[in-house]
Amino acid sequence: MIRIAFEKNSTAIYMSHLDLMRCMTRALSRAEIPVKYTEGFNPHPYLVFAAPLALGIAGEREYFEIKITEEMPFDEIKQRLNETLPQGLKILDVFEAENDFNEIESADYRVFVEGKTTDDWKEFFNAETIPAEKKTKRGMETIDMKQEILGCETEAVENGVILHLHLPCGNRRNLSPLLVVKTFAPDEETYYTAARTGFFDEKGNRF
Amino acid sequence: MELERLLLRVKNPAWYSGGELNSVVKDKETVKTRFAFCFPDLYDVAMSHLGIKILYDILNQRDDIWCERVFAPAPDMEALMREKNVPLFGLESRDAIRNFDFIAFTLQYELSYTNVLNMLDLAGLPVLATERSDDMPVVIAGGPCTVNPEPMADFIDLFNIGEGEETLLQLVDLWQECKGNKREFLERADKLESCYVPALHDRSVKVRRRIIKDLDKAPYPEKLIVPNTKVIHDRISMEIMRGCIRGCRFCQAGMIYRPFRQKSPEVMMKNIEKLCKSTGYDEISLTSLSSSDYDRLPEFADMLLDYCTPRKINLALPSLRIDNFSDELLKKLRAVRSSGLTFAPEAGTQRLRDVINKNITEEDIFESCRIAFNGGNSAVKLYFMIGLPTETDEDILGIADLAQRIVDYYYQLKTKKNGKGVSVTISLSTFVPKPFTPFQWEPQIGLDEIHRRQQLLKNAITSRKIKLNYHEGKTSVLEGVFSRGDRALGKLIYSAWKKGCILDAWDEHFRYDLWCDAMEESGVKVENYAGRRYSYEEELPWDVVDCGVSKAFLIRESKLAYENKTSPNCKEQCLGCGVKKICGGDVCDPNCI
Repeated sequence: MIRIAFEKNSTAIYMSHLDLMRCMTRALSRAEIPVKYTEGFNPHPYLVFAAPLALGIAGEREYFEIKITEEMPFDEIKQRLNETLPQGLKILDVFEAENDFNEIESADYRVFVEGKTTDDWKEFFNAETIPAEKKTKRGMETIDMKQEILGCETEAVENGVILHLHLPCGNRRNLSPLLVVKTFAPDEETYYTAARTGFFDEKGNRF
Repeated sequence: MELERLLLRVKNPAWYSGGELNSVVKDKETVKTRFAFCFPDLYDVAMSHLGIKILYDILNQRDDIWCERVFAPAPDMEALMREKNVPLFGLESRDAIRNFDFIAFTLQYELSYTNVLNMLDLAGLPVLATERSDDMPVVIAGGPCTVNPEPMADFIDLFNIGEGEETLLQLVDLWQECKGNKREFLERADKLESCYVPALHDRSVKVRRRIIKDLDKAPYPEKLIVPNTKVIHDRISMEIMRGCIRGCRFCQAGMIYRPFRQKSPEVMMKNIEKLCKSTGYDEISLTSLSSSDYDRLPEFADMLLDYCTPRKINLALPSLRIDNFSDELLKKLRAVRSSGLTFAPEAGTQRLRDVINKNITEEDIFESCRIAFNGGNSAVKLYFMIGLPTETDEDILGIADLAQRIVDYYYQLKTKKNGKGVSVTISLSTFVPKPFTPFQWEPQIGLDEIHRRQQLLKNAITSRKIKLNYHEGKTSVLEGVFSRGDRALGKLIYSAWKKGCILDAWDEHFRYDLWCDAMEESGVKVENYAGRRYSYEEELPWDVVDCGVSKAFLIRESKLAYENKTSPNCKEQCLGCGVKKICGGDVCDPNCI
C-alpha cells in the first residue's frame, strides 16, 4: 500500500471530496503511474482517502493510498504527480503505509473567524449544551456539540479569532469544523477560513 | 481577495474560482490584447462546449493575446456580485472584463439571449451597443444563432458569421492595427467578408459565412481545461467531421455547417493521444452531426479501440443514424461500453419522414432494433418531433404505433433475454422553423396545438414499456419567435431581461409569464413571427447573410416536401445547394475528399 501525502489549498479548496477523487484519478492517469485497478464491470483505480475533506476546507497534510502493479520509485511518483496537478494541490511525500486509515480517530483544524473574539468563543463554549443540527444518513439530527468538541485553543488576531479545534474524525465519529463555525457565527456574511492540519489515532499519535 | 469572501457562500464555488488544470494564465503586462470569451450560460454547460475549447486554444497560442473564459453566474452568485459590487470577471485573471479589448459571446441557442444582456450588465457595461462609448470593449458575437443576427443586433457591435478558427485572429490583428480605435476598427471590420456591424452595414452587401476548408490542417487543441468539478460532458470531444450529407429539411445544422468535411483517422488519433495524456480523461466522445456517415468509420473504430481498450477509456458515439450502422460496428463499440441506443426517426409515418427528407424507412428502423436487441440492448430511445409541416393526427398516432410495434418486435425475437423487459423511450420535441432550412417559411404550431398534439400522443400510448418525455412547449414558442426574428425583437429581449428573465433554458428559471408581459410591452406578437407563414417572395431578416445554401435550393426542397418527395443525399447526387461558391472549389463534393 503506497501512501501519498498532499496539501490542498488555494482554488483547490472548492473541490468536493468527489471532485478530488476524480481529479486524483485523472492525475494518476496523466502521470502514467502504474496504478492497480479494481475488478468488475467498470474498473477504476484503487484509491482510498484518509478522510473526506468538505468543500471549502484546506488540508495541510492529507492522505490517499494507491496500489501499483509495477515498481516505481517513490520520488518519481511524487515528481510525476506534481507536474500534472491543478493549482492548489501538491504532493508532499510518498511512502509505504505503516498503519491503517481505519485507526484515525480525530483531527486538528485551524479555523479563522472574522469579527469574533476569544471572549465570544468562551461565551459560546461555556454554555451547558451547544445544540446543533447535523445532517446524517438518517436525516437531520440534533447533536450536542459541546460533547463532540474534543478540544479548542483560541488565538486572538487583529480582525478576528483563530480557533485551534480538535475534533472527532473518521469512520466512527465525525464533526465538521464548518458546523462548528456555522453554529458559533451563524450570520451567513461571516467570513472564515478553515484548514485541517493533522490526523491522530486513538492514542493521540500523529498520522 | 474580495472573491474568496463570496465563494464559500455559493453553491458551486468551483464555477467561479478558476485554477483548473490547463487553464491559461499569462502576465497581463506582456500581452497586447485581452479577450473575454463568454458563453452565456452556467459553467457546467459552458465547459461542455467544444467550440469554446478550440477557440480558447487558438487565441492563447498567440503570446500577445490572453483569452479568458467568462460564464453566466448562477442566481446565488449573481446576487452576491451585485450586492458587493463585484463586476463580471475573467476566470483566469479575475480582472473585470469591462477593461478588456474584446468581449465575445457565442450564441448557441436562442434562449441564452437574455443572459448576454445580463452578463454585459454585470460587467458594468450598457447593454445597448449605441450606449457604449468608444473606450469600452468591442462586443462581438458568433455561433450558429448568428446566421440570423437581427434579434441581437441592438446589443452586439460586430457579428462574426461562420467558423471562427481563422477570423478571430484576423479581428485581433485588425484591432491591433487600429491601435484600439473602436470606430476605425468597426468600420474596417465591417468590410471583412464574414463580419456584420449592424450599425454600419449596407444590407445590399451580403455577409458570407466563413468556413475552414481542410479540417486536418485546422488547429485542434492538444490540451483541454479539466474542470475541478463535474460538468455535463466531462470528457474528451473529438470532432470527426463538420457538415452533414443528409439534408433533412427541418435541420438547420445540416444546412449551415455545409460542406461535409471529414478529418482523417491518422490526424485524429494523434490528437486523441495528446488529449488523453494532457487531460487524464477516461472517456472520448466523437462529435459530428451523423457519425455513421463518416467514410472510414470501421477503420477508425478499430484504431480507437486498439488505443482505448488497454487504457480503460470509454468510447461514446452519439449521432448514429439508423439506416447504416452494422452488427459489426455495434459489436466493436460494445467491446468498450455502450449505454443504450438512440435513434431519431423524427416522424411516425413514412409519408411524413419523406416530407422532412429523413430518408429512413420502417425496415431501417426495425433492422436497427434487431441489431440493437441481438447485441444485448433492451433500451431504445427514439427522437420524434411534433408540429412538422403537413403533420396530421395520423402521423402523431403513428409515433405511438411505431413504438408499440418495436415493443412487440422485441418479444418476438428468440434472442431476448429471459426476464429482461424492453424499454422504448420517446423523446418528443416541437418543430421550430429555422433560417436557412427548406422549412424556414413554415409557421410553427401554437401553444394550444402543441399541448393538444402532446396529449393525443400520450393517450395513444398504452404499453408501460413505452415512456414518453416531452417539454411543456413554451420554450419552443419563444425559440420560434427568435429564430426567425428581426431587429424589432431587440425590444422584447431588453424588456424581458429588465423584468428578470435570465437562464431561460433552465426550467426552474424560465418565466413565461414575464415573457408574455414583455411581449405586450414591446408589441411583439407570437403570431407575427413563430406562427406566421413567411412568403417565398418577402425579404427575410437573415437575407443579409449568405450561408452558402441558395434560396432557390431551399425553395426547391420546400416544394418537394409538399409533394411528399425525398431528395438524395450529397454522396448520392449533388443537388446544387449552392455551398460550392463559398468553398471556392470542389470541397463540397464528399466523394472528392
